[in-house]
Amino acid sequence: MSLFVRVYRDRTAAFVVTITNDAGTTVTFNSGDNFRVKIGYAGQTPILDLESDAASSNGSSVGASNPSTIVLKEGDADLLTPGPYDIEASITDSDGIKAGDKGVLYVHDMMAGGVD
Amino acid sequence: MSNTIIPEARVRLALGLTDTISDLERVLVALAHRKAESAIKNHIYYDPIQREVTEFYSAQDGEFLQLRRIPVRSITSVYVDSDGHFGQYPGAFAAGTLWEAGVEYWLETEQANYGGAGQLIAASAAWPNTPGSIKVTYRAGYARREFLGMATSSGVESDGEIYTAGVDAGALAAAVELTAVKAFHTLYAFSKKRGAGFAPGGYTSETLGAYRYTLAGGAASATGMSIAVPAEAADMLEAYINYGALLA
Repeated sequence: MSLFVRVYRDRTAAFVVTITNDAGTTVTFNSGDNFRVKIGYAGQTPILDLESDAASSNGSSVGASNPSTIVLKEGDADLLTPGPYDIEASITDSDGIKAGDKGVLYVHDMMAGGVD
Repeated sequence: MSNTIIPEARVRLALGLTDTISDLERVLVALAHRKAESAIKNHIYYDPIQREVTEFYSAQDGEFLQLRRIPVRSITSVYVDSDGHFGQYPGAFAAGTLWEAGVEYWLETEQANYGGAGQLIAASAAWPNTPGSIKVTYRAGYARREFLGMATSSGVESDGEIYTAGVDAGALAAAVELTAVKAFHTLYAFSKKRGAGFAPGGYTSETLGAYRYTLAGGAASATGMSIAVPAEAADMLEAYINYGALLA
C-alpha cells in the first residue's frame, strides 16, 4: 500500500487516503482520534499540516474517518511550488501516532488565475 | 529551508514506485537518496541547500576572500579581528571589529541577492592573514523553487529562504535524482534477495581460456556498494562546482 496523490497548483482538490496496518487491514478510527496529513519535505517543518480536528486557515479539511477524504483548498494548493513532495498520513490519539503511511504528492503547474 | 536537495518523493517518482512499494524498496529508496545527496555535495565541494552559516577565515589572496559555500545570497556580518582566533579568544570579534558593508568590503554579485562566485572584496586591498581572524556570517545556497527550476520571480519565503528570478539549479537537482536512481539499482541488484547466481566484489583473478573469473569477498566486496556520481550527473554538475572552495 502506498500513497500517491496528484494535485494542481492553485486549484481545489479532493482525494481519499486509507491507512492500513502491516496486514493490509484498514485501521479503525475511533472517536477522539485525529487524522493528520502533512505535505512537504521529510526532515523539516511541513508546508501543509492538515488535521481532522480543525480546518486550515484556507479551509482545507480532513475527514474524521478512515478512509478519510482530504479536501485541499486552492489557497493551500497555491502554497506548493509545482513539483514532487513527501506526503505523510497518520492517525493519532492521546497515546501518540497509532498508524501512519508515507508517499508521493505531485503538484502540477497551472495557468495563472483561479477558476470560479 | 530544506534538509535535502530533492525530496525522497522525487526519487520514488523516478523509479516508478508510487502506487505500490515494498518494505525493502522503501528502505532502499531512503538509503539511495541519502547516499546520492552526500555524493553530490562531495562532488561540488559544498552543501547547496540554502541556509545561514558563520565561518572563520584567514586571507587567501590579497583583496579577495573566497567563501566556502555558493551562491551567496546575503551577508549578515563580517568581523575582522587579528586577535579573533576563530572566536575562541576572550572578547574576540567585539562590536568594534565589525566591518561596514559597501565601505570596507563588497560582495561580488551578478544581481541582487546572488553572488555566484562567493567572493568578498576588501576595500583595504588586503584581508589579514592571521588564521581565524575573519568571521563571516552569510546566507548561501539555492532555494527550493530554484532546485525545481521554478524561480520565475524574486522574493523571500516565510522561512527566510531567498529566491531570485532566473536562478535555476534544476540540473543540480536532476543530478541528485540520477545518482539516487543509480544508487537504488545498485543496492537492489546487490541485495540478498536478488543475489542468486550473482555476487558482488572486484575481480581477484581472470582466465581467458575456458573463461572464468574469481570475485573478492569480505571487505573487498563491500567496496562495490559505494556510490559514484554517474558521468551524466557529473556533466550536469560542472556549472555548480565551487573550485574556489579548495582555497577557502
